[in-house]
Amino acid sequence: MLTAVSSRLRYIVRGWRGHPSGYELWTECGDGVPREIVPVDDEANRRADQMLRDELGPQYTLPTRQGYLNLPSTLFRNTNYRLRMRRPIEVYKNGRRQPWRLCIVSIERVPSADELLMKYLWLRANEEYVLTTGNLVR
Amino acid sequence: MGLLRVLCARGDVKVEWDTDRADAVAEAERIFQEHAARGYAAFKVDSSVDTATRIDQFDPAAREVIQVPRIVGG
Repeated sequence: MLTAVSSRLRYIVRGWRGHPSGYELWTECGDGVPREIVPVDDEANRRADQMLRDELGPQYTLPTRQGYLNLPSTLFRNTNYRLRMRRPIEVYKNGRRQPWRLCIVSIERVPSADELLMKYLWLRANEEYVLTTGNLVR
Repeated sequence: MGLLRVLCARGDVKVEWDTDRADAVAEAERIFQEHAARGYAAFKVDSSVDTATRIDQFDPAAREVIQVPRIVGG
């Protein structure tokens, strides 16, 4: 795992790896395997929104009010991850946004609020995994 | 009481269990294992999502468990 993380960090230090893909394109995830598209209806969005409210508590209003949620890195000093709805994860180092973003997607389509919560959970529980799994995109 | 929340296209599916009832615990574990077999990752949430931890086995004593679909690079 340490080797994988350090390898990925070398990419991060050097910058963009150069493999952009359609972040919103749910039929084709990182491995290029077409997925079943399950429509997300209003009720699903309402439930996901309620769950995000339950889990984030007072932080819940931030993604809608300011458009993002900042999460400090547990691995690197002066580093923050900025989470936005349906967008790749932005990385800020010493207050400066990096020229690339980390793109991870769920293999099954979930409402946007659920996707944000999913990224939050992964970053809190296993930041290394997000760094080694995500693709770097502009 | 324990709570399992599984994220999916329908929002989340909630399963609650009473730790004193073996049948309820077994049913929650069956649902957990079913999703784990499909590649879902599980997180144990005690006080808040900020202290969430990754788990591979069902924990009947957990206050809350959240299962999410597998992630890949996009």
